[in-house]
Amino acid sequence: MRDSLGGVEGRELVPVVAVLATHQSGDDVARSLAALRQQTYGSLRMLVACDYSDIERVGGLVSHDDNTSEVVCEVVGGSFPDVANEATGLVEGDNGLFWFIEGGTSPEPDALERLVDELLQSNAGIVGPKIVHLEERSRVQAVGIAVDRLGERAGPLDLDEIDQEQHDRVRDVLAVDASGMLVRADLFRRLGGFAPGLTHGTADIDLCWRAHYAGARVVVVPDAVIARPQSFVLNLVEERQRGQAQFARDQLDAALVAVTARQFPVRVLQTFAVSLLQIVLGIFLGAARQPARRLRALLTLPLRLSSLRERRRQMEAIRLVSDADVSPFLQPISNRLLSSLRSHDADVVVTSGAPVIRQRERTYGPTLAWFLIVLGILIGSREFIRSGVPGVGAWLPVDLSTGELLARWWSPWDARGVGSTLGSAGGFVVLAALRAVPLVGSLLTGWGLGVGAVICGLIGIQRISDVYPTTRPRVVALIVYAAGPVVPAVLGAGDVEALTVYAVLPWIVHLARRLAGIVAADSSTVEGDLVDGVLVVQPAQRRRLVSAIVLISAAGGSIAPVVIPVAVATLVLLAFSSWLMRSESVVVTRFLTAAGAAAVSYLLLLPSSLGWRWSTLNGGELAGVVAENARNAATFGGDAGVGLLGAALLVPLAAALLITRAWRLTWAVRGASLVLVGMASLVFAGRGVATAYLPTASVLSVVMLFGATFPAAGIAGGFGSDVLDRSFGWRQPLALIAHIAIVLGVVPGVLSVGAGDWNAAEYPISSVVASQFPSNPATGPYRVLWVGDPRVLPMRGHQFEPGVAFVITDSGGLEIGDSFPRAEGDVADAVREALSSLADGSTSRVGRLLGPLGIRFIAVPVADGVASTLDDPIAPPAGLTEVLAAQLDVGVVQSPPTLEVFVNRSWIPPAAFLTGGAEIASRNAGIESLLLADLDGISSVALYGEDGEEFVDAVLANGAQRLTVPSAGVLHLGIPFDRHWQVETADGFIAPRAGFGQTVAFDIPAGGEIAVSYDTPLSAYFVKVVIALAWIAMLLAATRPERRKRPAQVGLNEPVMAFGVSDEQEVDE
Amino acid sequence: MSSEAQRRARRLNRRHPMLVVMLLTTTALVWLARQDRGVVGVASFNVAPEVWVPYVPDGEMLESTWFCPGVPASGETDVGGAVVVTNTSDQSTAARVTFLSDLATARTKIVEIPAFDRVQVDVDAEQQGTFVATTVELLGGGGLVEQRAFYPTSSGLGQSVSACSTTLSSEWYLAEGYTVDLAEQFVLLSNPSADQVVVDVAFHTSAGLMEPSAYTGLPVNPYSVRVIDVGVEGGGARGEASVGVSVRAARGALMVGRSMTANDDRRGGSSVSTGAPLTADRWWFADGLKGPEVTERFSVMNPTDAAVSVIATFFPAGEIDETLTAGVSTTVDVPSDDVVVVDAGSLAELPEGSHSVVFSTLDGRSIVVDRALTRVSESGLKVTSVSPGVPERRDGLLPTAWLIPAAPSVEVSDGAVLLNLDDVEQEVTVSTYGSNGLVEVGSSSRFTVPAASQQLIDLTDIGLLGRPVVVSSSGRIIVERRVPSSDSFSNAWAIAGMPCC
Repeated sequence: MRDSLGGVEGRELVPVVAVLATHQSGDDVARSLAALRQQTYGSLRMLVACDYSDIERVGGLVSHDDNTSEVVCEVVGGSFPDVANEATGLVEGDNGLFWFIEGGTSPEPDALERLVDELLQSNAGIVGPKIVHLEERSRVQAVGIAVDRLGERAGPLDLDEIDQEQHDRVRDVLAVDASGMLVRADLFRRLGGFAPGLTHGTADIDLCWRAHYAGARVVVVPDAVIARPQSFVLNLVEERQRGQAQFARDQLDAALVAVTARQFPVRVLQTFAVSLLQIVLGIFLGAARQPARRLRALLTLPLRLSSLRERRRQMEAIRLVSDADVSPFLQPISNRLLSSLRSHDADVVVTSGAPVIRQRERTYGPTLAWFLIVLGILIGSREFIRSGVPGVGAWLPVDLSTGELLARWWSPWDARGVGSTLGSAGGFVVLAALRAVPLVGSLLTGWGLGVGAVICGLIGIQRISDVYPTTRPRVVALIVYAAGPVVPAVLGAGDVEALTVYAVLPWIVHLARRLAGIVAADSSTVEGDLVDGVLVVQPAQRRRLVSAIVLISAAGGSIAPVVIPVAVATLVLLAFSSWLMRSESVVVTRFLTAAGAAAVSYLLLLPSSLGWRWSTLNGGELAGVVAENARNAATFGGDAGVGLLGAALLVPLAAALLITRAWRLTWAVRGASLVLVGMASLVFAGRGVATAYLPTASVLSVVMLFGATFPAAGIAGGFGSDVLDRSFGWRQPLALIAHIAIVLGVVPGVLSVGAGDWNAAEYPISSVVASQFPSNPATGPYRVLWVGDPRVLPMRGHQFEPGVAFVITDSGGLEIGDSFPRAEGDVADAVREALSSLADGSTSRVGRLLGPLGIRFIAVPVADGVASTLDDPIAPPAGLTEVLAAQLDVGVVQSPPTLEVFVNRSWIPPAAFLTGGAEIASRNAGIESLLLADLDGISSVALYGEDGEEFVDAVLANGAQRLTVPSAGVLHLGIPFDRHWQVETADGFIAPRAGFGQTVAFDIPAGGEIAVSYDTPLSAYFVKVVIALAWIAMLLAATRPERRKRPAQVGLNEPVMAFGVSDEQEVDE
Repeated sequence: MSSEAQRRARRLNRRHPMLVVMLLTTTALVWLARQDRGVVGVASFNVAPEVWVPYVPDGEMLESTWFCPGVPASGETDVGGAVVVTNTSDQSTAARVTFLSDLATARTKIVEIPAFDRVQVDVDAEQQGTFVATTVELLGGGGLVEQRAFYPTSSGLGQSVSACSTTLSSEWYLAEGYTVDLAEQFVLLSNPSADQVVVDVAFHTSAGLMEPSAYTGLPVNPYSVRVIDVGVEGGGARGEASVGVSVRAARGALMVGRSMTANDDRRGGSSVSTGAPLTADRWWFADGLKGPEVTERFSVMNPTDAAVSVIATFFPAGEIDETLTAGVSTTVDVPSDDVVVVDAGSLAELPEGSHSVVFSTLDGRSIVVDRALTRVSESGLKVTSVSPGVPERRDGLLPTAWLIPAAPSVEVSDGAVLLNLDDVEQEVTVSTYGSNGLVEVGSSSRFTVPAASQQLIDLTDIGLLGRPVVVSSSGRIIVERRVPSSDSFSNAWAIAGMPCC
């Protein structure tokens, strides 16, 4: 036995009671017992704490010699601190020390002696050892615990560093790990032991923190070494992941219990501000969950106020020092923020055949990349910021409040154009949700949506690039996806479909790969040819991920329906390429499951999705050969000139297929499959093959760009192991060329920043709509039929024939809702029939055919400023303007050069009271009667709502509308026939009939006051409710709100080892 | 095999399939890109028929619209007109007839037409005006329309028949004009559409091109008729033995006809006919006469900026062994913006009797040719009929069938004149519409026409009288009619079937 301060000057050694908790240790308790028996310290007694079920087994391990100092006790506590609390309660007296040992750990023989020495020498209250890996004792797990002012551990749970004595300095720390902690018994009892109910990993911090305030020192003694199995850390990580919300609450409470009353509000405000800032940063860097949990813990503080007050009261009783005395041991908050910038998530699971813990590389790379991207977006949008946003493409104003947007969705009546009982697209719900978000809602201009979509997509790509364990490939993926040639193109064009796919696709694939269990693989894995790093995914988590895929697909599809088929096709392709790469069958199956989930999202968009056609997805088939498609195929959406450099992204794709290995090859192949299929589709489209079923070129370019990020990331991530570590040959120059090509590939995107407005049209077609077709003119509301090339229509329409699409809008300007998909109903068929008559020259009275639908103007867009400009126009369908001009009841209207506008002389207002010839004509059905009808010179009274909106819309929005009709006649409503309309007169109700064979008409027998109403069928609202519930259910299933486990649920007689994992406590990344 | 080698082999195998896929895809893309793009569908509404002489549209249609140039409806006794609407379908149908006037607001009338039958709408009874143009929208499209203008003569009621047109045009040409002494010539501008049309009217006289300011930028209101007196004192071309008229619309399209009335030593009666909506390089006339009681002159108008040389070739009837190239030819030079008259009677080589004529030029589609044919009846009544020829289409197609909305109600020998334009013998059938469709009538309803020959057709069978008549052939033909007018005949074109061959 060595000399020890514990026995100097002839005094007796300070008695030490080692509390050995055998929970979770299994058979390893023998190892711990053996290590304790070998301790060189002379006054050690052992209290082995185990539960009822284990007491017999453990009892067999301890010595039953009468002189033995080993005692076995039965405890019921759960966590290690709880067991320690319970066991120390069995020890009488407080003139000694407690040494807490986890079963399975193995203290070095002199560990206790060194701890006691230092405790006495430093006059410390608590001391802790250096903890190393049991399996590899040269690696350090922990040397004290650094904590910041918010109560959060500043370092990782496992340092996982080679022990080069870099930590071998006795120092004061805020806390030491409970495992191996030596604490004065009197102090321990004065502090009340570990705070009960705290999560493992927090209780020790809390104890040490309180010890500081009680005037005791907390010191780490690196010379004292305890070996701990790495599985303990894994268990701890898993435990933390299971109850992250609880963990966040415990950490925050520990911080708030410790501080003085004066500092309390300051600390609360600090926590709030820092959390908010971290959330903003975390959104970009993929680490928003932890601060979000902390913020939630802060916001739910009132619910824990009583327990917090009690703990603070106890704290006040022992407080001896001020905050200033403890502060030096706390990490400053700036460290927390800097850490946010550098780190991703604190710990990640990396697999190399079997799961292991690796500390992820921490650099400023992603932060710098994000900074440059956001800066680029701001610089690239400077003209918008300075002069406002032109209404290009989908960049239309959002003038409605959240409530109004939700009301639009809730209404069974889609008021856009002629109107439809299929209801509005769910896009209004998504928009309403965005609108409701503080700060974000006010940015919801079209440009805000566009940039938001880009940022959303980039965050998604950041999340999915977590499969790369190092920073470089993730930065490359981020930059390639941010600066790909198609990005400025779709921003400048306000291409809502492409932007939505851009935003949503990475998230869907990210969720799908998590569903498949694919996580980051070991960065050094090569020789094992690890196809994927795959972890088992718990059923509950699978359900959650599937729900999230359904939800995100539906959200995207509600704005751009093409998202759904694109997502399905992408996931199927990923499944196929995974199979090709010999991924585990579970991966292939899960990708297919994800594809099914994406397809199911169609159901969440009912009933409006019933009205979707192929043209709803791609705007309509183009006619003939589109030469630029081939260019798009090769350049990832690049324009002519510099945009052609986008083709350089094909080089890393080819290089990655040839060079990368292991899981990098797998991901490269997955990405390449998207690129190749996208390219083939574009070429097919360019050749006029299957163009009716293919997405637009911009959407395909986005998919291709998404695919191209993986080979690029793979070639960047594997440069060391796949290139440099191999013998010199063709790989090295090819890899170098690939890297240069990546830089060249993003040059178009980078240069596009210079324009300041993403080359958006200065005078897009939407800017002339409001002035050309003003709302609420003297004639009342009316409708406009747009006919032309699908690419130049102001919004997605319905296909008439290849190269010709149409859409009906209301008078007045366009707003964001106009860019949402429109269900196709009977009206589209009626218009299609009229256009067919026009196309084959079989009528000279097309105005009459369109008149009952309230179509007053026919607009043929020539140059929308985006796809078609006055300098380089897309010619309108050949002969369209000529045949319109040749119509006897259609006149030419003076219009700007970007539009050819015709007025329909035979139009009937959307709601009108008809007499004379029109009254008679209304009673006849069929085109023939319409052609022969005498609509001229009749008396028609236009009707409209109080605010100038269409009468029909006013009825459906505000309920029954009363009006006075001058005489007997016909009340005409220019909407598809629907028997739920009704008119109430003094003599009773009048049922509707089909006017002109297609619209709603009422035969009014005499003049007087009538009331027009719509008896909305309950089934319409029922469907809405069902769909809303389905959305909510999916949302709940996807977000898994955590339920607090009530203390009453933990029975005293529950088995000690029962850390039961409920379904809602699954692993959450 | 060592484990290292096995691993390597596995890596290679894993890589190979995708490399193969990439290679195949790239190859396929390159192959696709090199393929002939072939014919792909192009969005097109380009179905507006080529502007030509009136013809009956083919195929299923919602409706066909016919534009008639106008008939007098001043209310004077025996002055008036009608439109004949013939239904060639097996279903009864209806037509919406719109009457456009220079004096009154447009009116409409719905008429029912039984299957395979015709109705005659009395225009002057429905609408009053100096001239009333009509637009007939015929449901189903299966039918044809012509107009008839009536005027009094000393020997009864004279009539001038003209086919209505299925197309409007933004340019019209009237090569024939005559404003000598008391002769009256009116240009009838009718606008059946919803937009105002603004036109420039120019006269091609012996003194050169006249562009009166009063007729420059002349508006023609929607659904109305505007009448221009070519020979009005001070504003027109008074006293011109030959005056051509050209009408050009800056935007929009309209219908243009002419009404010519003269009673002097050279001409007699009234003739209302449609102008020519185009210039062409070849103009055909199936009928023609040379004789002591006939005056036939052709006005060749060149509205272009360059002089052209025109060859007129006459093909006398009966020379069945000769080809069309063996006719009597004469060449005339037509200066720019001028009209040159060719008088058939002055051609010594041309024998008396019936003949066909073709005018052609090698200077492009640059000329318009009208014919003024004046017959003098036994009572001394002169009946002049003016009409343009049948121009060569841009696509070179010509019809193989021609329709007469309503044959004369009296027997007319040589009531129709057919010219076989092909160099091969053709089978010709003359039919009418019975209750079950087309039926051949009489023993002479089917005959053979020699190559490039004129054939006179008798409309004498009682089954044909007053009925729609169809003359169909195995090859390309043109058919002209001789319409009873007072105690003489006027000439009018039958209505072409769909150009096909």
